Amino acid sequence: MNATSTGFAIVGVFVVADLVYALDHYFVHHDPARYRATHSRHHRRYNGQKDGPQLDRYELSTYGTAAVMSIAGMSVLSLFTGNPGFLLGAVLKFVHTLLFHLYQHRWWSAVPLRKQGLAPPRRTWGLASAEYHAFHHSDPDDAIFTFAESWAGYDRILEILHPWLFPLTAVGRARRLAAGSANTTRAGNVSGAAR
Amino acid sequence: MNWLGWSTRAIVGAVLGALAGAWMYHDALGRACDAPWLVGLGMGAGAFVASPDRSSMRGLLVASMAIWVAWAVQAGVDPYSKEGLFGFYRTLTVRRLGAFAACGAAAFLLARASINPKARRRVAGS
Repeated sequence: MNATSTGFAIVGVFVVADLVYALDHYFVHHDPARYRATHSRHHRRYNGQKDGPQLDRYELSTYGTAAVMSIAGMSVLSLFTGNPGFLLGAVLKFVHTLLFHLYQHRWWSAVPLRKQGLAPPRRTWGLASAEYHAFHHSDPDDAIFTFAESWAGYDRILEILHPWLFPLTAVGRARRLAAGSANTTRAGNVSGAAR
Repeated sequence: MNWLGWSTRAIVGAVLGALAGAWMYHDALGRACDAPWLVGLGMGAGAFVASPDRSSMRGLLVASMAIWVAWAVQAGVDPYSKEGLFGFYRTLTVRRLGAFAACGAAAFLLARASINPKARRRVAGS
């Protein structure tokens, strides 16, 4: 196995994992039940005063769980192809997640994020800076998407795809169901009136 | 926080199943029968019997581990031992690839479920 194919595998796994993280982040923000049970804790923590370590047990468990799953899957792919790049890419993504977490949360301080008055970021196609991510914590529902972990370009793509992705989210599904039952009720009323 | 459904009971069940499956696969290889799916069946069945809950994440993990256990068993047996530990991919014919995929599939389908029909499903946050 040559270095080029190993390198391609590392980059490929990293890019796909980063996309999966951004997509999952988008979906959890459009799923109130899941958000309440899991991710809201993270937002509450970073919107308050800094009062603990950058990575707590919940965050280590969340990132660790994702890493265990991707490393297990990629290790099998490496075994089947003889290309160690798949496994290395998954490990690298885990290390990157931990390091970026430490970097991106450097705006967490004695002054709560919402009181820092951060301006909305530009709709950039570059890297997601610490300020870009801090704005996500203070204004997660802003029209400018800030779900990406490293490449802000994923947010721009998500903004473009949002009309098609939204119906697939928990909120979108619930709205579709509600609209369907409202139509059924209206149709029932109309037919009832006709009788 | 445990999204994997990876309880002590599930681990013990999977490990005991892995040992039984590894023994059966090794025995089968000695009879010229290449059946890595025996490991998947053993590990999956172990987790299925022992797990108090259902979890697709656990199924995926057990499937990956079953393939690694099957790989370890065959790596010590001729003719596969000649390829060394990481030359496994060179031994994969279509039939053998299918057999290892069946190993993962059997482990996944069994390990994601529980023998208890009322077992609750593990989801994120539970």
